Amino acid sequence: MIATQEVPLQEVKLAPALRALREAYFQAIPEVCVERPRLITKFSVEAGLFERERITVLEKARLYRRVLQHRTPVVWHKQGHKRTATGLEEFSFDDSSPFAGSTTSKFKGVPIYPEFMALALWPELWTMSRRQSNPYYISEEEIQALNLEVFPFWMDHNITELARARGTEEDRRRMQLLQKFVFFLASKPNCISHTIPDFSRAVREGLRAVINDALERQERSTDQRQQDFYQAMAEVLEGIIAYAHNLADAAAGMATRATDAKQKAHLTEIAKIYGRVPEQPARTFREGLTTIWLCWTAIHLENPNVGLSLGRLDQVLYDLYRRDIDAGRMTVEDAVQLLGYVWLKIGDHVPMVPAAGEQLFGGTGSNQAITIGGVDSEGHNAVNELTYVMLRAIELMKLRDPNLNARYYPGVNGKDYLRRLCEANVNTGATPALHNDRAVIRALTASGHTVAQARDYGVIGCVEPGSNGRFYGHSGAILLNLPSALELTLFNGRHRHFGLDNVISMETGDPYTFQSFAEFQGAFNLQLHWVLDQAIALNELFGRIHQQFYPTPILSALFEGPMESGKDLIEGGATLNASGIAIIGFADVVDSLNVIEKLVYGQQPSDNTLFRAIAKNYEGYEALLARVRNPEKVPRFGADEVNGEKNAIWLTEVLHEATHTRRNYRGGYYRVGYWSMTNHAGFGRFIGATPNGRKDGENFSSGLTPCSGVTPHMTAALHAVANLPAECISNGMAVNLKFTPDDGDRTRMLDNFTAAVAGYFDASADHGTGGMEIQFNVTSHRDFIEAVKDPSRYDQLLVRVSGYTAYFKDLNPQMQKEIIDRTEYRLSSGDAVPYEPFALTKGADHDN
Amino acid sequence: MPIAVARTKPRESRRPLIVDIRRGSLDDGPGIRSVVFFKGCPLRCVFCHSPETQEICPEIAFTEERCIHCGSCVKACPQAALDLSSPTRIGRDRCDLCGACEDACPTSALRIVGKYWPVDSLVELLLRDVSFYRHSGGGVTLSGGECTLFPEYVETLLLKLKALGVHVAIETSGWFDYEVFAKKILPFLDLIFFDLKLMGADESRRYLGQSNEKILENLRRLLAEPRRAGRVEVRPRVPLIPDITDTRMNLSRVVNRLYDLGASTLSVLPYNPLGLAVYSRLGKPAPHLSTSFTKPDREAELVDTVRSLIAGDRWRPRRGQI
Repeated sequence: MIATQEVPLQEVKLAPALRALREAYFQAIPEVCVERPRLITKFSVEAGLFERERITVLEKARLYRRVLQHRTPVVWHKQGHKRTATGLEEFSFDDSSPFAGSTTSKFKGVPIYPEFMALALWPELWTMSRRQSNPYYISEEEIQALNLEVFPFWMDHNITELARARGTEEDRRRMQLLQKFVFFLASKPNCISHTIPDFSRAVREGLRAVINDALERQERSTDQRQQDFYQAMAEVLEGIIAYAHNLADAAAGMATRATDAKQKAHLTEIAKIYGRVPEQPARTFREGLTTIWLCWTAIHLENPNVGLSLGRLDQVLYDLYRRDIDAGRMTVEDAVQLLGYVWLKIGDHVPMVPAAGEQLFGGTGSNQAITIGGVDSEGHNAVNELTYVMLRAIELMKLRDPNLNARYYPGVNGKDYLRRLCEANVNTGATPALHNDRAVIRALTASGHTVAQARDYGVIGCVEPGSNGRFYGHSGAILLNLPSALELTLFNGRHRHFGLDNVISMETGDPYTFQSFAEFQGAFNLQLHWVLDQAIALNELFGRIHQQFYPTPILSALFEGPMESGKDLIEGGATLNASGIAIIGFADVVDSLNVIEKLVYGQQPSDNTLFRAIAKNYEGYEALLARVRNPEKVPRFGADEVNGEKNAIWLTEVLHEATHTRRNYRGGYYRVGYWSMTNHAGFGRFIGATPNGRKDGENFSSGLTPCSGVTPHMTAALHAVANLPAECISNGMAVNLKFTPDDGDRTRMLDNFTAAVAGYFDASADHGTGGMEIQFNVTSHRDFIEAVKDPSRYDQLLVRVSGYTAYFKDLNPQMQKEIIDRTEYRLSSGDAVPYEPFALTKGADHDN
Repeated sequence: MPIAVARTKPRESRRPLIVDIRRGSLDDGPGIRSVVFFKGCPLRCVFCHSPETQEICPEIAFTEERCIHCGSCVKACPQAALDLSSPTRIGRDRCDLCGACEDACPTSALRIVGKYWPVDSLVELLLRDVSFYRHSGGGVTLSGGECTLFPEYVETLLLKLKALGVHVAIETSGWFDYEVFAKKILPFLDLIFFDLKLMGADESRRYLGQSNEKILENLRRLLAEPRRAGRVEVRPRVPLIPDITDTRMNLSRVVNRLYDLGASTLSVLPYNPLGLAVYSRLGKPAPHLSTSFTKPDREAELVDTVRSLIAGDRWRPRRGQI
């Protein structure tokens, strides 16, 4: 593929109709959709699935096919609900999107999965439309539907109960641990998701060809299970085609009733396209997008969407784009508008978060990543015109979802391209995230990808890399609260959150009696393994439950591997398999280890004052608190002192060693990454004062970002991060950098921005790979403070949390504080702006 | 890693001391740079904006805003030179700069200014940012103080940096031994920021503490150096000190002299009062100078003044760093 110069896109703006729809999108609050749970429950009852000890892939496929056939085809949404001073109120708007259909029956819907976690919403059905933060609209009729027709059926048949009934005594104890949120979160009770489907075949050949392939293979196969699996694939794809045809019929019906000639033509065009794709090969860019969009809605039938990602759309769709442009059928401007409409469609659903989950996940979207740029599987420059067009569409729309990730291969991709990516960050304040191909490819080849597969990586969910369309890696399977392992070490197997009377894990010795830091490290390693053991055992248990009850024929039909292997993804059918662990609280643990090494065991004799201080939350130990927080006194991760990096590297290696040797229920490996979503704020609530000077309940630092206030020089912080071994970080990393927008010289600011990123990607490149990932917030401190005070004025303010983007107003106060407190660098001087922790006050706490 | 300086009496050590190393700087030459601030200066400009770099020997500084009154320093001091009730904290007549209080102070309110860095450690630190230099057209800037006071050390340092192709700039007061400078330092430089402050000999003695003859002579020789393939660039700068250097008379003489010497550019540096706060930290009286930065309109006016003084359009006076 040949890279082209950037087209003159700066002048392209959103068309008025798209702009209006985008405004409606921002006004609309999410609405609970009961269509899916109603149909799923009804058909499950009819098929007798509640009596099964196991649900086969074919049974699942027939169920989904019926749902697809019976769901209401909504061409355009005209109504939503918005927030007013007195409550929620219905409003109307014009929708003339070229893309019909939706994930739910609503304009912006909350899909409900009673077979997974939706019963958590049961007690809140009457109150959730009135809750202060992130309310959901639901009508009384819909509440009754869930109350009577849906939830009662699943009380003993949701995944948690199935696992409880099938797990061992030990498993049930682990599930209790899980429910405390203190050590880890396991996401399989909610979903697997977190992967990138392969759309290239559906786009290029059409679903009919895939069905035919499956049926031919079914005939050739002699294995009953394989035959069933191929049949299952055919069933679900027929279901998707049926949904497309229903939409086509609905659009045709609307066309006949339409009085406006333009609208009539528009609807006729939709009917024509939906009659053709996704069944047949896509011939135009718009058809290609339609195929992807319809497949996308179908996949959400199987699992809640968490981090399900679209992959390298600028590669998958480039040929169609090129042909349309070259043939004069489409202008660049048309392409930007089409993408704008698709982005709105992709964001047409939000994950269900019950009130209790707001603390941990408030403000999070589905984190649907799109990847652009980088190299192709042969290592050639893959940046093309569509790369820039997608970037422009993202820049104009400024949405939370999709989450744009840009790849950059130093030396292969052009510097102009990198500069353009930086400019987009200045323009949007928060996107795209940037990934260094050299580091990512090294990380992936070190953990099972071939070089060609690694080069063809896409970004999943927040920041996790995996080969596009062939890697089933549940990259967010486990979110590990790393400081909890430190807690167990410090308190000899006990945890302050549960009281210090009970041993939670095992006794590894009282740190007061240790003779050396090595002894402390040894104990920490044991406790860390214990936490990992619990999390992984639970992941395996839920993985097996997924195999027994939740096969995924739709996703399998849109993936590389299952067709060849004749196995569902959940059985290990993908070309590449893995389970991913996200480590939360890395910088806090590294800094704590540094402090313990120097101030406790580095003294002659050992000085246990620090242990006493953290037990008292540093009260009465103000001088010691000041010392451990002072980067001049103790090596801190990110201050780029030799000793600060030693423990950081040790920790990444220990975590890698402890995980990559284990195999999961699908035959894949475990891998670790460093990103935290909003959990560095959520998990922090359960951990008392830590040796790095963090007080009880305070936030951890996000992702792999050094702690705030310890890294006065930007290049030092970036160098320290780049020095970590990429091979040990195959599940991705998130490094957050906050820049103060400069009012002055924009050219110079962009020069510095670009050079900082290029320098980071090449830092330590003589012995390593350079930094792997970096993401930005380019919003001034003042604007953040104003946004806390007056959220309504900043309702579209987009921020990077850790990995994904969110609207600032949706975040809970603790998370808002974390973002405000992040180290902020001036692009004019490169120095950190003096650090003053933001106080959570009444004004900030707008949720209470 | 910095190694604490030998705790000897002042003025016995001529090992170069470093006050600060600032990484990721965008204001001290082109691109992203690391700036090394040397300690010791032959001038005593009354308007010095980094007084901690004047003395060549280590000093102790007390930053009151950082003090949390924990008293750790009082307990640690073997000379009983510290007093929590005294606003200046340090009895400087008793202090022998042993550094015990610095170690004891948790907030770095007390610190020894000036640390010796072995060249190899300094090089290792500076090279950590080499990728940032390369991508930004940046490099290393030696500032001070006056780095030319340490020709042997600087030569060794620059040999190592230039071997790896790092762009090197210095910021100098111009008061140095030309022969030594030309032999040890000049061959490695890419850029010289050369500060010209005052043209009158009497004024110079009064405000700079030295006659300016040597400075002007050094600038003349520097500009007359055969340009070896145009490698080193000399950028004269004049700091705009209210009522001292920013008079029309002085600026006119600066411009005329530079014209005569064949300089091609002149930069002006807006006045920066941040140095004033440092005097009290060092236990020194602060000079009576303006406490506000040069206002943008005043700066524009001065740039216009300089421009009007320049015959024809031979010159391009610029602001601060280029």
